Amino acid sequence: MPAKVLSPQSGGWLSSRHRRGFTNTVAAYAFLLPALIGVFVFRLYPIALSLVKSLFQTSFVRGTTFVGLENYRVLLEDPVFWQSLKVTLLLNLAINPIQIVISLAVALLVNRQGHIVRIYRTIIMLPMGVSLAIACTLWRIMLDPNNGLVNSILNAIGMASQPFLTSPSQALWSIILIASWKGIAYWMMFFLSGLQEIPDELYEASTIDGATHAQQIWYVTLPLLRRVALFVTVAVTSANFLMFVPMFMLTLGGPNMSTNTLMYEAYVSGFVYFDEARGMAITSVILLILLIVVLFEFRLLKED
Amino acid sequence: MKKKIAVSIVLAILLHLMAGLAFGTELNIIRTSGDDWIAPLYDKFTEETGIKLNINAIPHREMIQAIEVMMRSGSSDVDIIHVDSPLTASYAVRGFLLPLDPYFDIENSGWTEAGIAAGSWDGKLYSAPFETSTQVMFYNKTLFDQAGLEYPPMDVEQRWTWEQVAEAAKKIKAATGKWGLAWQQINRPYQLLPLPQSLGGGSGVGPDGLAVDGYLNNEAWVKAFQFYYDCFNTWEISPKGITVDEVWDNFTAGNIGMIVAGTWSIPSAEEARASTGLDYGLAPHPYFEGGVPVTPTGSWHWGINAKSKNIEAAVKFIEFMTLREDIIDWRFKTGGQLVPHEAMFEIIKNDPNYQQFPLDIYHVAVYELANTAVVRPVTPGFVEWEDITIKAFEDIRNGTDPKTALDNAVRRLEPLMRRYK
Repeated sequence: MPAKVLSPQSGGWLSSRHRRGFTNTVAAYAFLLPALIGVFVFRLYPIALSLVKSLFQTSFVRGTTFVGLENYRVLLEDPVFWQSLKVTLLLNLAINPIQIVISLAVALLVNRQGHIVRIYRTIIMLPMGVSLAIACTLWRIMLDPNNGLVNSILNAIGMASQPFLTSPSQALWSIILIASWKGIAYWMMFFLSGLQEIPDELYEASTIDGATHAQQIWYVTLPLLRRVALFVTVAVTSANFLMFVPMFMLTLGGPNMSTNTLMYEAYVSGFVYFDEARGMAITSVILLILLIVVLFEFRLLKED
Repeated sequence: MKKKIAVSIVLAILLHLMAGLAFGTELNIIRTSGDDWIAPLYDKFTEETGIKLNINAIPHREMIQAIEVMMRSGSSDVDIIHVDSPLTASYAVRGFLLPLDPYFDIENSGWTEAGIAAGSWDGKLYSAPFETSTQVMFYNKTLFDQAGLEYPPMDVEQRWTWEQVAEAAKKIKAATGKWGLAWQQINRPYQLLPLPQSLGGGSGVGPDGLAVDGYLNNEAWVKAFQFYYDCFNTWEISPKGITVDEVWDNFTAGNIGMIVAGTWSIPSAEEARASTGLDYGLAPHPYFEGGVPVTPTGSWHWGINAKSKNIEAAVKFIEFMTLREDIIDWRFKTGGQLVPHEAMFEIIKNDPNYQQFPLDIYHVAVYELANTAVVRPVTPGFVEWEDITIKAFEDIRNGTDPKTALDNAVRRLEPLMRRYK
């Protein structure tokens, strides 16, 4: 009997192959299942829920009623929403290129052998070990406008003290600094592993062809880093669009709403002002913007 | 043999469960963190009643949000919550709290009238008065001496005006380089409301408990917060950038000339005197020239979750904490926080320790409670109101024009308050 099943001429062989294919598919999905459940429960379901809830409004007196797109209409007329949108876009226009370029540059610098480099690499990666909440607290102490470390250094080199987190014109940049201090180390790791995957032969060949170091980076390294760069770009963008901890811990969206991002505004609406619907509407807007930006990034960095 | 082991395991589990049933009443409590000195009372309560307490201590602002999330989800996991007294209305309106009238003989409880009023909404008591508060002015004698200044008198009839305070603060700043003036809760309405109220500006909310335009941004408010603005920005006598949690420590470290702070800080100031030689004095809360003296008040109450399954035990806990005279005695003498109960007034009147510095300031405290204390606004939207006013105060502190900041706060608050109409 087994011979018949395995015979290449018989239909049994084909069905067996199909069956094996089918079994493999089932097995693959079975292995994926825990992750898929996670994606559904922690990602898709909350997204769907927030979309639905953004269509309702709750009054403490009248209860919950369906209002359609009313929450979105109110948002569009709300100066606080526009201010938060402006801050969010400004933050992302600045922080994403800064983090990507610097982490790539640092990865290129430490992508070589040797003890000293290894020590540097460790030092650069140290911020990764500090949670963002603790990093914020440390930086708040260092950026203290009265007697913080940073101002002491500025004074020592003859510069005036800066207000940093207490000034509407500097607070957002201070947050960019803090988030990047931690973020760059993290994203650098991905670039570094991407760099180490590039075969040495390619560099050798280009050396024989007479390429300079700069030309090697431009013609060999960067094209081969494209996939990693795409991942890092998309991940950096979504991480920064959803950034929340520094606003929550350091500025509460101030001074003068200068750090009031959409994410923070959504949190405040939902958890401080009990306006769940407005919070949900804002998160849906963030999602939409993020989707557009990420699609754009995909097109830009897509491999031909 | 195996059977014996199995039987004994089952028996052990059963016994354990029975023990749980017989002695295992547990109360889950959410309270604000920071007053760890009170912990021995929890142990004493468990010792006396066998009721176990699971205490969840969370920093003030985060606790308010944690309570919101839990209570709105209809959870019965929490039995007792620490209620910031002005939040009583907000919780009561939304059915979070159990009315306490059936469980306590309120008339003969000994709780002060002000305490009962602060814990009541719509004629019912929802939160039991546990603590109340007043503020006085602490000043650093060393810095005063260095600036060649006379000390402010402790007499309520001769209390300093804010104008006098600011002048002294400028001199301290000039002579010592230290900060002249600070407020303990440097950007919170609890602490700052007496500024506009001293000028007749009201509590920041209209009589209906919901209107804010014309109440949070009227002329007296703008004038009062112009003074606050000047302290940080024009005269630079008050510190920017430091948080509520850090201000007081700057006073005990000798970096601040005058600080308006709660009487609950006296134990900490005494500690600093013993350890670092902090030489400090006390004076009544200042007021504006041409205005009236107004002081902050209100503090923590205890409330029972309307959905709690351990009401009887929860009532026992509240009785123990707020009505037992030996407990009140220990609490007041250890923590320094005012107790809204008759028993405290007896201690201040009769205990010899309270007739000399620094505890004699409690006579001022009693005067303030009776004559100048004004509660924070009674509104179901207090959480939103407080959050947005804090942000406005913080913006003013950081250099925003007071009128602009207060108008912005009104614009943000109006749609939020409308939801309660």
